[in-house]
Amino acid sequence: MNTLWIIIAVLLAVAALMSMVRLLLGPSILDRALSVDALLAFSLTGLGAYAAFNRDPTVLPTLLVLSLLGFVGSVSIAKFVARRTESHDDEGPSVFRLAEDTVEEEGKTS
Amino acid sequence: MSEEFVQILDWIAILCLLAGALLSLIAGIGLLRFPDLLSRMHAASKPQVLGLLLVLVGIGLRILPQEETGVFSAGTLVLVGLFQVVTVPVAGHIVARVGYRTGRIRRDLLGTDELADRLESDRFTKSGAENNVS
Amino acid sequence: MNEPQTKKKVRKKLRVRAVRSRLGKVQIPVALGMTVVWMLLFNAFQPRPESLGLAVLGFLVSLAIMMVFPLPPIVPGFRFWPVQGVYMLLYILGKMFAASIEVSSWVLRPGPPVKSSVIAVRMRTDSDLIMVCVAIATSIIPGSVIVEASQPEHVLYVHVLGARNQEEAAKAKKDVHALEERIARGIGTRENIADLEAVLASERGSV
Repeated sequence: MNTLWIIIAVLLAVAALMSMVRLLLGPSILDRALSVDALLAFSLTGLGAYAAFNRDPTVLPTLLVLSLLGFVGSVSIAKFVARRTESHDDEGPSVFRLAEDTVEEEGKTS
Repeated sequence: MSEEFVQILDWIAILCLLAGALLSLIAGIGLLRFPDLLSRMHAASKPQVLGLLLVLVGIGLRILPQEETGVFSAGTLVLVGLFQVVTVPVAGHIVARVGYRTGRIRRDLLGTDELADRLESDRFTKSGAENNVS
Repeated sequence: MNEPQTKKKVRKKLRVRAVRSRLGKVQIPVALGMTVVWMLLFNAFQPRPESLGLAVLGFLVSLAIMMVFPLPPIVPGFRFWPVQGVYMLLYILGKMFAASIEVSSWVLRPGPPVKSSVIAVRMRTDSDLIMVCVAIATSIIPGSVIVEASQPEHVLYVHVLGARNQEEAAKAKKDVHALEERIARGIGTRENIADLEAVLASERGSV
């Protein structure tokens, strides 16, 4: 049974590393927001595994706070991106804008 | 509670946690491998809901045998699940919408796109675009 | 001498009316739901004397919240059908498991990047609540994300992973419609279900 706990920890660590790589690679700020979201989900899982391993309910309120916090983060980032891209074109929805030029802009600021 | 019963609960719990961790790992691989934002969102949404629900079940089964805290911590677990189920779709929708509208989607990988036709026709009527944008 | 007093009276009357109109915005079922959340937050579901006080306090807090931040009412309301509701939850859970395995297979499959589609799904019931529930359920199920929702026409635009061509897009559309049927039968009003059955019957007639 102990090996299974170790396997769980290793799987979560590898997953977190992968989402860190995506966080560094980008390419756009929304991808980063998404990978932060995923990282948050992994840390929720990790905290849950800790609580289950120690049979310890003291960290459960932390899970509650984290599950609400992720929402606020990604929504505010998305709203920020939406407002900035809408501010410098007023020709309606910019659906056919090329991916590259927005990516470049984001690379400058971030 | 008898000793064997607790043992069985522990095994079920650890299997749930293992499944959650495995889903997380696959989501991590998906985050790296998938080509554009929206496909990555599909990969990331798995541990956020199903993985978390499995983990919560696992925690519940592990904590349940403890008489003094056992049953009563279940309320917090239910709340975590509820909040996650309600908030993840909202956040996902907003990110997907902004991602689509700022063109962060690879059109060469789309089979059919019925929203593009719709938005195109909205551009000409313009009145439809107003109530569609915000 | 008399002037300010009548003014005060009028103002008081206005205030009473404002409070009463705010009270009219309170929806008891929603307040009860908030009370349950409050009690869950404070671990109040256990036999101890504080629990009753927590319940009353939670109800008062939820009433205050609804008076300060009034919410639009849920039209045309909903109704929980126990058997179908449980079936709905099980159906969504089963879908989540199946779709997780499918998405995992897409992730682990070597080869070129996976293709996907954006499909438009028209709801067959004209209830906002059911549309929201379908949107939540589709987002929860891995492999489909809501990109856009058009409320006046009740159309959801869903991004489906792994739908490479028209046939697979049509199949995904059918899946969303099946989900809608389950949800409408689970929490829809009688009118919603009647609408749905009318559409289903006409579809069967045309095919």
